[in-house]
Amino acid sequence: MSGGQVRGGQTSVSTGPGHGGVPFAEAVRLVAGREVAVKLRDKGFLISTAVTLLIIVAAFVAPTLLAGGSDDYDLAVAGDEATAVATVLEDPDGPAAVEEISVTAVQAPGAAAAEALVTDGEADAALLSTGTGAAAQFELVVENEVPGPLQRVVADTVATSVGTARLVDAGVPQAEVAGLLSPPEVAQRFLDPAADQAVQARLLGVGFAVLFFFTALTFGLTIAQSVTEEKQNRVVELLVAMVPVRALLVGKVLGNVVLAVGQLVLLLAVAFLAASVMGQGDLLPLLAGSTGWFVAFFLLGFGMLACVWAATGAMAARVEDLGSTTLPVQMLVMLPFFAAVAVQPGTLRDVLSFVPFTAPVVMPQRLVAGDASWWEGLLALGSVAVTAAVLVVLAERLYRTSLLRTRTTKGLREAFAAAE
Amino acid sequence: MLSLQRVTKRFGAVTALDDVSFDVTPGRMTGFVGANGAGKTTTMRIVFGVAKADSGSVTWQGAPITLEQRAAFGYMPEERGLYPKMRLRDQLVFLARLHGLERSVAGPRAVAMLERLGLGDRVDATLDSLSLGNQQRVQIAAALLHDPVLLVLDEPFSGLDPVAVDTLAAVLRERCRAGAPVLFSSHQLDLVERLCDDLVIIDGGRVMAAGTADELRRRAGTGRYRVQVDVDAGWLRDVRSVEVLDLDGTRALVRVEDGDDGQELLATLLQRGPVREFRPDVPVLADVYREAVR
Repeated sequence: MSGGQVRGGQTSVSTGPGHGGVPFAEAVRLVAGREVAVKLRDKGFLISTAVTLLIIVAAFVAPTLLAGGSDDYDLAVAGDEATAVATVLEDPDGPAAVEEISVTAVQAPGAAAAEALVTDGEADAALLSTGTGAAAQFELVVENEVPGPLQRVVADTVATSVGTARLVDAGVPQAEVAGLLSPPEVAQRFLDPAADQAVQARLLGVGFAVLFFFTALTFGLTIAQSVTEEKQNRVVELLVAMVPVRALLVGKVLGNVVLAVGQLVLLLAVAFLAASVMGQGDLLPLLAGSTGWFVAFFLLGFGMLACVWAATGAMAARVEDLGSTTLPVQMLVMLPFFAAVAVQPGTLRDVLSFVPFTAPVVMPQRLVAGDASWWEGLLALGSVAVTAAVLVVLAERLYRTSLLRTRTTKGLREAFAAAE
Repeated sequence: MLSLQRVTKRFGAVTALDDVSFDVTPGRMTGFVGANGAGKTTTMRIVFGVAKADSGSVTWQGAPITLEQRAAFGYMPEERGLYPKMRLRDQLVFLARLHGLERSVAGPRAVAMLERLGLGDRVDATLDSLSLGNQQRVQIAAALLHDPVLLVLDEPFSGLDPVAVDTLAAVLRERCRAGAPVLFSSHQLDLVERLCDDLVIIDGGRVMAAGTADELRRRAGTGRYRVQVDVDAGWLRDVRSVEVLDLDGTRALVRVEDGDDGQELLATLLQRGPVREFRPDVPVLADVYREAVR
């Protein structure tokens, strides 16, 4: 307890250490820290993040698991030639490897027994043979549908086996048979070798746009809600009595930028980990080259929108009113996203890549694809930065005037009129 | 000292505060009394910069209030509000640190304050899990946590049980004794009477009376006498220079004119018969209030 001293009838209260408020930066840090701490305790946020992580992992792991499950075939075999062919099929480095399947032969005492194995589900198919050498006849028996890869591998192997026998019968020396039967090589030549990379770049660009879209929307809404809640439950009266309004705004925006970037980094890290574990790491080098641009555009672009989210949040008196007051900023997030996904390379895209609101999603696409040089990237960043600065000033004004009004401000015009 | 000088505030055509002036003196508890809509809340909001006065000034130690000074004040707004989903300790520490307390000080202080207010076992509960009365206690803790140099509390006692009322009264007296000016509004006049050294009575946005409680009581009580006689006292209504404030059979509460020491009235009474009671009436706060807003 800081005691009071009475001197000559004049009473004064000692202002102990710490009294007299906190510096601006410290206030920002405290507000931002609260945003982060509250969100990290929010069960809804934790669960949705966990679910997203699971979906990402599943997206990479599931195809491999599903594909792996259906590519093993049990083949019932009856007849000498069929047994010989099955031996070739079982070789993991043999023709089966070309189709990325594996075959396990199950020897049956006769054709009827082999068919019974298929009927009972013990085998996926039965390979029957009668006769020997060049005169051998083969039959592939299945329940109702022949799996494509199995059919191709069996046909090729049988063709080689019978072909070898026929050539030997025709007097060709055994040593030359393999050479005669080996298929001629078909050379490949690419007229547009970059096309594949362009598709990847396009995917990467769209992927970034999607991430930006969802982050700007979900964390934007979080900011707006957090502002409205403070206003609705009147904590804001306590807050503005001791810290500058700007510190509240900046702290809120910073806290949520930290959360958004943190979540994004986590999701991407898990995605890349899953991709490389599953052997789908082709995109990694491409991404590594453009990470800097992505980060720069993300931070500036999201920061720019975050201030607008905060201001529109301050305009709502109750959380229920957020839908209408945040409509303008929702549009600012959605329209650029759809433009970024829909627009094809060309003049329109070049223009959009410099427009402040579309630049954060369009310019990274062009940079990844190699359509834009570094100075164009910097120019676009500059246009975003200038717009962000203007919006921060406007948003702060809206925030300041709307924050202490107890009813919902109808529309931007009223909000600005009140700010005058 | 907190001082308001000629503060005026209009909301559109409505004048919420009209030329409001009063002081809140160090080491004294000041009661802020008035009907709903009289302007108490608006006045307090202006002190904390939450609302802006159209004219007039609010000063602290003789100079306009800065944000830094305000951070050392304690404020309890009319509309209660803290973070519903935050744990008590966390939100008190957050607020205390914005008030400028170090983390190492804020934590133990928050717990001690909650313990004192009877919430020692709920420090890790979220606010919205508490009853309204207990939420009110947390609000009190938030206003007092940082040993404020000035306390301004809007209806701090409403919604509190008798035990909490006593605790809050004790805490306020403590701050007062430490030299902080304390201003609080209340509709519970008996409570104001018990606690306050000074009074500000406001009605329709105007200060109707301001001063020490004793002074106001004396002023309101000037010339008031309680009388009991053996016969019906109705005849007093016909006596010039006497105003009958209350009449109940043989008992009456009357007021004589300014400067009259009552001896003439006593003589008149004795002429009519025995006088069983004749004493100056010391009004209670309710009388002072009624008198002021009449």
